[in-house]
Amino acid sequence: MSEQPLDGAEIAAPTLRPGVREDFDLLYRRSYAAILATLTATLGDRAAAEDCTQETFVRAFKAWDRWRPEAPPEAWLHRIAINTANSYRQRQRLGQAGELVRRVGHPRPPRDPGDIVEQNEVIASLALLPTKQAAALVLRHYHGYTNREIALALGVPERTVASRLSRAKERLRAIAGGEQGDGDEVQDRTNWLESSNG
Amino acid sequence: MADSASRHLDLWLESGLGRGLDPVMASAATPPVPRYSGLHVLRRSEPAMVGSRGGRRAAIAVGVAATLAWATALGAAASTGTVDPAVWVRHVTRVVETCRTDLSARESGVAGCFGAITSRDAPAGPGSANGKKSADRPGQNHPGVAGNDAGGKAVPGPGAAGTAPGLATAPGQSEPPPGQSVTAPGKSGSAPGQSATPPGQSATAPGQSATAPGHSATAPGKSGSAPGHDPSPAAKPDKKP
Repeated sequence: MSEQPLDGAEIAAPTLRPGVREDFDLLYRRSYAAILATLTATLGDRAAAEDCTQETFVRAFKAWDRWRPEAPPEAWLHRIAINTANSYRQRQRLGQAGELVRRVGHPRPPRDPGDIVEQNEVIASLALLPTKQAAALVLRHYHGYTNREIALALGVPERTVASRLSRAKERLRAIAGGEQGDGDEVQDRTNWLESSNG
Repeated sequence: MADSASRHLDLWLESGLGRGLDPVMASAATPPVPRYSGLHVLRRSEPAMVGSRGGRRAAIAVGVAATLAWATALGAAASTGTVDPAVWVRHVTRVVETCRTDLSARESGVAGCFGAITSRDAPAGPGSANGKKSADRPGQNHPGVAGNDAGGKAVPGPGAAGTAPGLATAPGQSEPPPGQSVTAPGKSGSAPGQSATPPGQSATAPGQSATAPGHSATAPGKSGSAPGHDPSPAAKPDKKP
């Protein structure tokens, strides 16, 4: 777990005012690392995570005028970040489908090792989960969010968070167990999980 | 057994996430220049001038105001022959004084007089016939023409009957330009050139009406002209009651 758990109350100090540029800059400096970590674990790709983090703050900046001070800004940012990661994955899937069509009959080129910065097995496994499930695990087991805070960040009821965490762990366990076998087998199982969960 | 497995998974998750993400957090302690830095955030109290409905309305209002100001300045410059606003003011003052002198016995009519003089002073052309338009239109109840309207038939006669008092030429300006006659055709016997009577000689000058108030052909309340401003003695109606 992180040594610096998120403290929403600290960031949600009354000094943060919606629409004020300086306050958003302060929020950016405070939250950038946490958002980047969440997206890195969710996407499994440092470069993509950095890109999505910047995109997250661009979206948040455009909506900063409408931010309600009642909600912790970190949770609000995480919600935007998860949606951004979801969009990124969808685009990536479409791109992969197009690439697959182009590569019919040709051998798959070796993957650039630079694309996967994190060689950590946990992060590699999380990247195979649906975005929201992976994000829920990261928020719970790395950032130390409670289920209520995760519900706030994801915009879902707490019960949904609990069931989502439970299913994520089941699948993670299955993926981790399958890693002992053939790599393609794991990939096929992950694809099935992705398609079954949307 | 299940609790142990779950606990084992949680430990595996937390240790793995810590190993993988702590370096990320450490490296991102100093965030890079944000991508949003080139954007501009709108504050709630800040009016949105571009792209909003209110902004478009404001832009249209400004455009209309600018166009009106430009047209006014252009008209004034064309009328006075100079672009000096002080000259425009003097010109307007002079015209108004002239109209007041001409209409001293009237209750109203300065506006029509002013419009006629300014249109007459403007350069002659197809677009400068405001005075002609107002004077030539039948049934306009223009001062001086209204008497003919009430009588139905005007008898032409000397003295430029039917000439609008307000359109009487200013001293030193004997004739209106061609095509800008202030006499209503068909309602008076005066030719356009004869309508330019100086105020002192005008048949419509106040107090010079030959028609007694009781014999005026103009029915009170049906005409915009006062009874004492009948155009001329010759403008008496054909049919007397």
